[in-house]
Amino acid sequence: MSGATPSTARRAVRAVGLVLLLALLLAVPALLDSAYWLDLAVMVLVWAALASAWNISAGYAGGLSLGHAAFFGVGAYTAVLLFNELGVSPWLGMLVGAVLAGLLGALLGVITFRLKGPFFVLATLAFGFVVHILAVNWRGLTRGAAGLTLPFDGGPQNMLFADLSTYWYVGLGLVALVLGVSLWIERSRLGYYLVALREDEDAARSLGVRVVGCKVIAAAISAALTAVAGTFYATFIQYIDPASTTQFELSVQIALVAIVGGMGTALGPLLGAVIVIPLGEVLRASLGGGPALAVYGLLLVVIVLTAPNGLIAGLRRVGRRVGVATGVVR
Amino acid sequence: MLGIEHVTVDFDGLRAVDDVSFEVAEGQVVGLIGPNGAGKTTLFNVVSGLVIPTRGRVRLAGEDVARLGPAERSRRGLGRTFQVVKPFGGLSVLDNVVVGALTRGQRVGEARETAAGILTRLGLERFATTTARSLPLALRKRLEVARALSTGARLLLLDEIMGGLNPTEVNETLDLLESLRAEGLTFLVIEHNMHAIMRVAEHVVVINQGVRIAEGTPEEVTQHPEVVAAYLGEPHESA
Repeated sequence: MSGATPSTARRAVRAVGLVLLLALLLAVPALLDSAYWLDLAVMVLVWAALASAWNISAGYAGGLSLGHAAFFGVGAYTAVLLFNELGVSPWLGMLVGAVLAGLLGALLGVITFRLKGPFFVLATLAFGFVVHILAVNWRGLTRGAAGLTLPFDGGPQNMLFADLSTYWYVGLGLVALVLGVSLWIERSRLGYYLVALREDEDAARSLGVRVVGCKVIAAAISAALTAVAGTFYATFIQYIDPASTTQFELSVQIALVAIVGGMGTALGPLLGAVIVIPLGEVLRASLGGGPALAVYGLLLVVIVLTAPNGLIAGLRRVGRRVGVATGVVR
Repeated sequence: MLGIEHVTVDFDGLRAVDDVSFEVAEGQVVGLIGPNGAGKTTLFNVVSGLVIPTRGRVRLAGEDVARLGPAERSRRGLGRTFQVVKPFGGLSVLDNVVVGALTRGQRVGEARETAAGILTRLGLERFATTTARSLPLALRKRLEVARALSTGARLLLLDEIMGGLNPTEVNETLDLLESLRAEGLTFLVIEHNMHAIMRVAEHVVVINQGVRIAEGTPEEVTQHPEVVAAYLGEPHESA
């Protein structure tokens, strides 16, 4: 090759791509003219944030959690309760929920850091159930299965928007936050430590990595960001109940989205949400409950089998091939 | 530099290490030899903090480190390799080494430079971007050494870093040890390659079935009747 070096060419392609992507994202409310699709798009953002937050402790640090719905619930309930009972703006409630969930995540991390593999998974699962049972049965606080509504008397200062497209933009901000934290971790000391202890804990400790501290920090960050997504969800739907915020199925779905997209990468979980959530929705709409779930399950199996490292790895391979074919990369 | 005092390790009734004591002085290269299953690696795990001894103490630079975990011991200048290599398989060779450089307090940028320097020194620079798990075994052994060095350790525990290497590679490794030693590093080395241990170690400790049976210069221990019986099998007159 002559002229521009491959790396500058690649950088240029990447910059152009990024600008186009950003423009596309900002134009989504204009492009999707029906409320149905825009609603789905906002839910994709919620799931992208959730899967990405989950990925911080599960993907980087290797602590596969099946209890993350608990933190989602904490974020949702904290903000709604603070608003309904004390009139505290959900913007502030979101921070309170994040701190609460962060502490809870840290506590869970302190309790479970010794557990390996399936035992860790079981512990997180049990934790998720405890929080769900609390949400269902602590009726004095949560009104149990009846759920809580967020009265729409707010406006922007209370994170309640008349316009769906505003939710889209706030959701974009949420995803940007979680993605930003992920990218920062990837490049930071903490990120190196997390990945090292995921790969081999004894080797990491022998190199001076303080394993417990790292795991606890990762768990806390992951939980806090999950709670932020929970608050956003609550203000978007304006109704929460245990079934929609603390249920076990949610925890599974969070993990699933991240795994399908690609664990341990910053972009994988986002891609997972973009693929998996609309897929589930379209199937439900066209096939209805039971058959949709069957096809959905089968498709996920096929995806995981064909791209065991996640769709992002497959996409990178394809991207590379296209790059080689067009002479952008060698 | 390192004091091992009356260390005993029981694994569910099996005594892996039985009242072993010895010292490693600063700047020394001490060999730890013994037949398979003698308890050498267990002793390494006790020193590095991965195994808590049933009895006995470990002193690192005069400090009793019994209550310190592996990470804290590493931060006090102890480095080790693993006989069954434990690379961070999914990471690049460079990133493997960066981790250790970070724990000595370097920023990410500095740590990457330190790590690159160490890779060059060990002849691994060509593999910097290779995924660690795809390295051949001989190079993974070398990566173990690179990682141990990355923390800035002053005392290195090397667990069979020459196993499976060809004679040229063994010589390269020995040269590396000599040059590191010239910089003031201290070594405790487990090795099955007797030729190598004779060349590099000035002091040798022999354990058999968890018990220290001999200690001395390489010449002394190889002539020690118990060592000959337990480890070398038969006296070798021609040597």
